[in-house]
Amino acid sequence: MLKIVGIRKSFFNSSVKQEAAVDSLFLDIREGEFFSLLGPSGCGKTTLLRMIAGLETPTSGEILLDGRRIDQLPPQQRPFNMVFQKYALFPHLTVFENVAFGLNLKKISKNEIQERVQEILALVNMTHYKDRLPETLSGGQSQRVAIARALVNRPRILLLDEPLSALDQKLREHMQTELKQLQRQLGLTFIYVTHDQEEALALSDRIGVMNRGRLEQVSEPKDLYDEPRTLFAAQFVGPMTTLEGEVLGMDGNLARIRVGDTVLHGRSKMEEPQIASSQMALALIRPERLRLLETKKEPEIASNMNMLSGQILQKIFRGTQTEVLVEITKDLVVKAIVTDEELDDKLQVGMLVSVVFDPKDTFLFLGNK
Amino acid sequence: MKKPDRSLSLLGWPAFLWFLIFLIGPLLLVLMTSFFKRGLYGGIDWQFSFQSYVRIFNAIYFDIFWKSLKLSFLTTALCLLIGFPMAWAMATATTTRRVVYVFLLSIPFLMNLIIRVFAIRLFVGYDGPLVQLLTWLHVDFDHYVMTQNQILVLYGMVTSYLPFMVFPIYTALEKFDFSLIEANADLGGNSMDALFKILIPNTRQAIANGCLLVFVPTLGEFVIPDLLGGAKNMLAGNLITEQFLKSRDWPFGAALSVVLTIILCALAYGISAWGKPHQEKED
Repeated sequence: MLKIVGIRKSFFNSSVKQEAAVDSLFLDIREGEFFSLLGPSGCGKTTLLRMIAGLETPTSGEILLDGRRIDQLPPQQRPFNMVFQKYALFPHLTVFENVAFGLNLKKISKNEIQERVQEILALVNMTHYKDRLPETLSGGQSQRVAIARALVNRPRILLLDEPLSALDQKLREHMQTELKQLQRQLGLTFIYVTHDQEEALALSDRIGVMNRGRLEQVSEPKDLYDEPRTLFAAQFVGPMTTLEGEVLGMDGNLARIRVGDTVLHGRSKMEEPQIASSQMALALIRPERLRLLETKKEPEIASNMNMLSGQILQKIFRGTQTEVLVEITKDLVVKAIVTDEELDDKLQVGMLVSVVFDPKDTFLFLGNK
Repeated sequence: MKKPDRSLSLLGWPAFLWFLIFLIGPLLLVLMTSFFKRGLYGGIDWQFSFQSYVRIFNAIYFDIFWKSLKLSFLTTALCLLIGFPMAWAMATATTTRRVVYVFLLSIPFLMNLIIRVFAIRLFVGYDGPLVQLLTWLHVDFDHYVMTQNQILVLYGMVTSYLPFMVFPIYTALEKFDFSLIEANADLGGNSMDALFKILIPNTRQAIANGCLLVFVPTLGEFVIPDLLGGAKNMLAGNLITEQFLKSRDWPFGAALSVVLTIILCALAYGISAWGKPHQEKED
């Protein structure tokens, strides 16, 4: 539906020659999907969104909607509407007038405006507030009005720029549910910019992870979590336990690296030629995939598993789970997550344990800490 | 909730007393004087009379008041037309440039008004550099034409009072959330919509303040019209000064002042009422 072809944006700054905010980026957005652009601040995700909205002009590249170029059109002529980060509600207009703003500009009949605004206000549960001024609304209410103001124009795509970042944790989770429901109900395409990986995982049909103006990976949330393709995507999305070692070579489908005195197997995310030379690499494992066993049970472990031995340094209770820090060597401490209460009770600080994990869950990337 | 205490606290008393003694007091004296008669040799004849007020309804004075009002309106309008874009340019400049602009705009305040106005007069007047340049270019014109006239008065007024328009609007625009302009574009509004439906409604108070700061003093202004306008271009301010200093008709001068003050208060009230942020409708 929306096709972004080799788009690039560089801001000219007299003082320094900057790298491009968005660099040669290709992306396809499908009809009706909830697509998130995820990345740290300054990665170019907002710039990309603003280029789609027409608030920023690409330096080069094309944006196509249903095969028609739209990157030369002003924002007024693009069938998209935006929900701004700080809502950008018009402070001098009431909730109703704010929502009706776009329709009024289109010279739609008073009756129809009345009808459509009422309908959309009901959809976001803001009917009772229609005569209020924005300054009297709470953050969550302002957010609903901002969404209503965009939706009432029936855009082809709704663009959302970190819409929940100003809300507190509880309200944010509540609004996430509402947003997702709204999107399903309307079957509308959402492009959602966020730096919050949990939010992206929870809401999206697909996620594009951005770093330094480029897309690192575009995947469904589960794939992104289970099959990160780049070191950045692996480290940015979800918690990761990281081990540093030296590449030894390939062993069938798996690559081998040496971490301290131990040889570990893992799935190589490195280019073939790079593996030959003995370079530094990182082994990344999701902490919940690390199993902890008392050292005396070692013989039970299958021989094809990765294993490190160490001593429990600290336990951090987090409610539904416990983080256990295991000291392997003086400079290497591994974090494991234990959700099993029975096991949790058995583990004591100072106990000698084996950290066991499957090579399938071990991702090897070139690089160092 | 307990209402915040807005009664005059002890700290406010010095200012209040100052205001009472040096502003309200003299105003009452002026009001009183206006109801007496002019003495034969220029003093005040302590005899109650409306005669000064009756005299104002003379066509000549009417004309002067009308001309003054027109000039003040014109000055205010020009200041707004020039000042708003200027304030916009300042507010959207980079932080370092902003400091420079604010400084440049404050330079005129470092110099006395009379000297500044006199400088204009010297610059464009007879024998001034502008006339010399035009003569050198063989432009044929009356050398006295730019010495004293109404356009010059307007020019002097706008130049002198422009900062009073720019500063309040600049302050408001500096705090303005420019994503509102983007929201306007996103919702289909063009730049005219942005100006009239977003920008002006949200800076109305500052615009009103700027207009007040320009309109009120220009209506009573007498230095600029005196220096740049000459005797033919008498304005309300000059008329009043003349009554006190030259004609020595204090009651008439006082009556003129009272009328001018009433007109000013009414207009000032109108302007600031327009600038009030609109009240929330209760449901």
